[in-house]
Amino acid sequence: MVEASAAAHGSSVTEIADPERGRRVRSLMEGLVRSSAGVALLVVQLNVLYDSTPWLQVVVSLLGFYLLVTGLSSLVRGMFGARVEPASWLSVAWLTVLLVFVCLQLAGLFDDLTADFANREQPPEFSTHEPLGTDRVGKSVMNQAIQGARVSLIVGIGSVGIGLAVGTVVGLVAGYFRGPAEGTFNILTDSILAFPALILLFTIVAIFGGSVLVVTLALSMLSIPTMGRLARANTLTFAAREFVTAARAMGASNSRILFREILPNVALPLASYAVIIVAVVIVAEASLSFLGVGIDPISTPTWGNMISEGRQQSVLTEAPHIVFVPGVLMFLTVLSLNRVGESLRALWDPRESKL
Amino acid sequence: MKGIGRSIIRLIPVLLIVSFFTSSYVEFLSGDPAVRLLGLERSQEPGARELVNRELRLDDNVVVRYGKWLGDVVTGDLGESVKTPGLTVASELRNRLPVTLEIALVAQIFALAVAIPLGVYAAYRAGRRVDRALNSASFAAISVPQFLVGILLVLIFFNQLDLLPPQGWTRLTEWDWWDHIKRLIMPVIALSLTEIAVFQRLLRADMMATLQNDFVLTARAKGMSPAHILFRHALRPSSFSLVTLAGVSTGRLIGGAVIIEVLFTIPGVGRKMVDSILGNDLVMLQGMVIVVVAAYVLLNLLVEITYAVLDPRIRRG
Repeated sequence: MVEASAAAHGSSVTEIADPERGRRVRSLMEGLVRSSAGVALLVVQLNVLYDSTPWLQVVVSLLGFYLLVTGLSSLVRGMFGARVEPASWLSVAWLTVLLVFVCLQLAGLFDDLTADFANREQPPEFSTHEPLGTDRVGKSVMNQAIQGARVSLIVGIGSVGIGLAVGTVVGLVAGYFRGPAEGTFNILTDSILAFPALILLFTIVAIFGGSVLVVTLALSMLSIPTMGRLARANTLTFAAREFVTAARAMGASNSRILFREILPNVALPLASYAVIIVAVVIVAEASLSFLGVGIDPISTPTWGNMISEGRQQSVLTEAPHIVFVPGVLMFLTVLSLNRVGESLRALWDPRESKL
Repeated sequence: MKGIGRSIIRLIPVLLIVSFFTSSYVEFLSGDPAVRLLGLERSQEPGARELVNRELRLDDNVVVRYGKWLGDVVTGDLGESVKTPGLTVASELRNRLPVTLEIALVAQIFALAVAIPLGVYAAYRAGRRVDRALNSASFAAISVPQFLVGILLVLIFFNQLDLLPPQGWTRLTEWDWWDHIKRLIMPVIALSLTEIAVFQRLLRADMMATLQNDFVLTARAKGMSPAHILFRHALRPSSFSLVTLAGVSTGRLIGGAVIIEVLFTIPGVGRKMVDSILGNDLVMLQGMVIVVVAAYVLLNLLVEITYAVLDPRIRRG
């Protein structure tokens, strides 16, 4: 009877007594206050303070950004409990937003890149139809940035995809058969990785021209040996395990052992590294554009092309948003990819989790 | 020491393959090599075509050509520029390699000087507020592309504060030390920011593992100060991966300072490589690349030797 009455009143009792629930509610409230304060500061910065001293702007934006991020983290923690990692989920959220915009772009939106010389170097203002301003010839910075995101993601995912496919197979073979296959593999990957990376990319693009396809293939030249080395290292540890010996004892063929026994174990850790390498590749692509040999800036706007306008002093002083909009987008994207990759690695890499 | 001998043997094919790749570059150039290398006007001058053919050895096939180039390199002759006759690769290297080496070394030392105390302190305070803040900060620092750091530094220190010159270089031989240091600051910060973050994370992880050991507990029980335990007892056994990484990334910086050298117009090796590719100056590019790769490979070797010095177990093995 006592138990039954406790159960009947249970909900109201635990609501007051459960410290976990109270903490979550507090976390939610705090997150709400912080993130709305952050948004408010950012809106003030963009709409009111645009003409004030740059230092005030920097301080206000940083403060707003800090409040927004910490606020969103407490919101996530309040909603899903203290054990989830808010940073990883915020990163996933950002990458999703980016993907949605890229899909909208592929569907035909944000396509307009006509130069409107009368309205050039307009600062960002949320109330106008150019919320992120215009560049030196009056093209929309927002449309360029979204198209740049498309290029970055296509190049990044494409080249790492190639690297993952080819590198895994080559690394598996090298790590499983050892002997001359492994020796050749080691010498070739050592050679490619000893070459200064940017110079290798630069040479390839200088010979074959700066199209999206060439840049993607050139970057996969870097991701193939990187993924291959990881695949080989993982294969070495798994090839010595009992289940492989057991499969061999049962008469399984080499290809069956490689693709049915070892590959499933190697694939997940490799995929988590691949996410981090996408971030590296996106930066490398932008670096090429920055050096002036990347994807052609006239036909295809990319983040790197936009940022490299900042090499001209006049752009930096008179219209810094041309540099900072793609700069911030790229920073957030690279940060998110690193964060997500790191979380996946902690989750999937057996060598790490054993420690 | 046997392991070191083996890695030297393993490095020779790497050098050969890299230089062979570089020398086959001319095969991919479309059209008349003389016109591509010198431009239409200068390729019509008497003797120009012969110079190109002689320097690039276009009359031979790839393998013979590579063999001859290799023979010259072994005797110390790296060739001369096709673009500006009379300019030898060796003299360009003498001018430019010290500049790149200086920036790479200063950046690396600066990175270690900042990262070691931060990493040690983060491990000491693991899980606390300071550690979490450092963790987020290093994550952010890893994610800012180098050229963006460079542009931001120019915006702050030149456009806003007007403290540092935005571009250019003063050679040490000009004896204007103050100007030299001023021109060094921004490139060094831009290069070392990522390094600081990576080093800090690595040292923190290794240090936390070391602090679990019994000898740390013993030292604490004896009443030694935390600073003494951290820096005199725990730092050395925690620094193996750090030494490896610092060595490897110094090697990488010699060829990888391209962006910084272009952005701050520093007359280093990286910028020369970019210029040679843009100007189709094959002999120059080949000479620069082989020296940069050799430096990288030698540094990796040096790392292995340092490793043996740091860890007695490897020395005996």
